[in-house]
Amino acid sequence: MRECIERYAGLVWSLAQRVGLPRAECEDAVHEVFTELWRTSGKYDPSIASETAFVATIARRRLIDRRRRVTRRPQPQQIHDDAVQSPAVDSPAMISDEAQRARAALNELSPEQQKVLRLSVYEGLSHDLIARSTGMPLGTVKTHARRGLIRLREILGVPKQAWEAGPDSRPQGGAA
Amino acid sequence: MTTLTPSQFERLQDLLADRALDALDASDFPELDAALPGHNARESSLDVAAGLAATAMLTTRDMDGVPAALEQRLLLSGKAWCESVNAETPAPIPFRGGPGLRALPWLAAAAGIILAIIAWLPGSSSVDPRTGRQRLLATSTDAVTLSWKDWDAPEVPGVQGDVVWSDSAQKGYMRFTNLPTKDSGKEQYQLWIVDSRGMEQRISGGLFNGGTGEVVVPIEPGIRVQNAAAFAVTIEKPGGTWVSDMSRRVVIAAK
Repeated sequence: MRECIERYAGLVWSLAQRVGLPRAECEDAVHEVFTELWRTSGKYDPSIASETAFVATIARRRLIDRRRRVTRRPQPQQIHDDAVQSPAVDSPAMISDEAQRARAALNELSPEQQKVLRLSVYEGLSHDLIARSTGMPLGTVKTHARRGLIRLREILGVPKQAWEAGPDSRPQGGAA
Repeated sequence: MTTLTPSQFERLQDLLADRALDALDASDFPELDAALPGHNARESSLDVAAGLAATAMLTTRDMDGVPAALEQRLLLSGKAWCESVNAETPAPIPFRGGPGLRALPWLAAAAGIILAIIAWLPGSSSVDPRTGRQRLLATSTDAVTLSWKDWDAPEVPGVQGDVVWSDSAQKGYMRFTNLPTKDSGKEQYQLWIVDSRGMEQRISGGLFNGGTGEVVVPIEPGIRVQNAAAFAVTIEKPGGTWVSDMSRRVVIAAK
């Protein structure tokens, strides 16, 4: 337990702050995530994702759910130009080999896809706000975000699950 | 069996990507609900990709310390979870050296929680506290001994003794005289370990009930203590508290 918390509390705490939750909400949110992690630990399948990916995936979904319940996303006046124009210059956090691999995979995306995903995932901006901040049409933002994330999944080799193709169904021609 | 066309499949992928990025339009929810009933209870491969992307984008500046009170809270709720698992699982879960360990690290970690919790429960040490204290003083190169002092206007004045602590061993012992016995059903003493950043950065070091004569109590914190700078004892409700207002003060020992 101690090892588990030492290893992942910092990650979940940082994700809670990046997702745009008010600081006062972050502690409850992180506690909620760990409760969910313990409850769902039996669902963990190492053939689908690493432990870090499992934690980050559960954490992000729960944190986004909570953000929807308690707050609004950052508003235009809160966005710094630097956030839109260039990535953070701080050193990347050394969280796991998996995170390093994901960082390398992100670098393989087109500059536009990288920019949109960074603003969406790291800065927590809505697609509408990304469009207004960057001057890109909303449809273009959506396309870059979707194609970028799907491409990232491919590069990382995250396997699609059967249910994603619909109940009792299989895709024709293997398009993805 | 329903078969998706490539365009239908691509549309589903777009919707799942939007969901993973919290970008689903209100009008898209019914479409996704209809195409993938029960999707809300599941994480998709695109959620995994988004989770990894979020992790990869974190910088050293984002990784500021988790508040000590939160770590303590996580440990306590994990303990409650372990107890509930234990109650439902009569046989212990093998997790060390078992054939499934490599294949199921998360389950192994979850099972490991149980033993880790047992290891830090106050009083779980099999060594007599007096012997343990002497042994720590004899073998540790960084053990410090700090004398208790009345803490402001203490609720229990005149308590004497000391605390021995080793940062490297992550253990210590408190020694008290004149510390009245508490009825653990009504209230208990609680130790707080304060790090060098100040009183706000403290964790619980355990609960105890005092006693007659000289009392030695082991310190077995649930999480790693970094740069312990002071030890303080308060009176709290039975079972202790995650966050004390520190109003019922007894003694303090500081470097």
